[in-house]
Amino acid sequence: MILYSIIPSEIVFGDSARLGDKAPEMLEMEYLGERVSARLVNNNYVIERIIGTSLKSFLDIRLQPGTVIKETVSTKS
Amino acid sequence: MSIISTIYVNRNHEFNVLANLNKKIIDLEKNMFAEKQDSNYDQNKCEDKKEQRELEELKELGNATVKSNKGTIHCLTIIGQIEGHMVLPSQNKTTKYEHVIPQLVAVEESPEIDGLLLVLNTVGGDVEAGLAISEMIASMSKPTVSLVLGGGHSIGVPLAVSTKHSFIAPSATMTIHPIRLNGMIIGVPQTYEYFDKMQERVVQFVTTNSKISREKFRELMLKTGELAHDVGTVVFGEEATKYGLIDEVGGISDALKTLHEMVGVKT
Repeated sequence: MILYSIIPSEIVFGDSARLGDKAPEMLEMEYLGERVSARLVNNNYVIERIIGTSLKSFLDIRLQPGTVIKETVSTKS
Repeated sequence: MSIISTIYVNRNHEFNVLANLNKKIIDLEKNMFAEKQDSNYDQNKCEDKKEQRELEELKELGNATVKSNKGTIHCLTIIGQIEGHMVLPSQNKTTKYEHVIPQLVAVEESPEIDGLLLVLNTVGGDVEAGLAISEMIASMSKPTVSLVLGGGHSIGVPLAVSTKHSFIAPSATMTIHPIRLNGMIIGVPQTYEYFDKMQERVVQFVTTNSKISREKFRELMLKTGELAHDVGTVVFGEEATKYGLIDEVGGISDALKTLHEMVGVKT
């Protein structure tokens, strides 16, 4: 991987075991009519990305990466 | 009871009746005023809540489409590491290219958006993801302006120059240095040729999209003695414009003014 950054790779990738960083729990879910991938952070789901082809949803401020999903959503396995 | 005392009692009674009526009128007015206050308070509270929510969304999510009488601007922030083909550990703040690219397509396609403001404070990241975003922005037909705040390092340099006009804050810095690779490296001459080709992609993009000469950019990139653990150069706001890398030193108001002018010219 070409990591073209001023931050050294040992800091970027870090020592996950030492830092206690577990692999995030990811879930696909329907939110506001769009399929999104979200991860569990402090008992809340945070949107990682939109899994969809609707361009308009990428401009929707409620579906941006980092949005905390506060409502009850339907999930599909 | 004498007549005088009767008159006195009657007048006293009238006075009491009037006093009670007056008191009732005062209480009624108080209640009406209080209701009006509550109604205004509720309305203000609703408006405050709406504004607060909008501000929180802008703060948390970092991008917004802002409408004004001068045009509708979409603001896209590029922060932290540009995350490419690998998901970076959670201690990193990242910009995800798989979200940014369709978003740029949406900005280009949307008839409601007139221009794009790109705000950068990035330490670099994945070369291919960074170049992909840069090429997308460079090939947009709509007016685009970039603003480097804090830092626009490494792959942040192509991102900064990808717009039609670029600004850098006086205190912002940009690190120009050679690309580096993570992972297994095979000790053959072809490895160097590969590095050179990868580097050439960046050099070509930057020199094509800015006023810096190829020779000057390579000179800055390969300079020794400036960075403690690396090869390259750190340029500050004014310097970046002096070399022709960035168009102007300025801040948010300058960037928005330029973008609005570009939108006005286009329409």
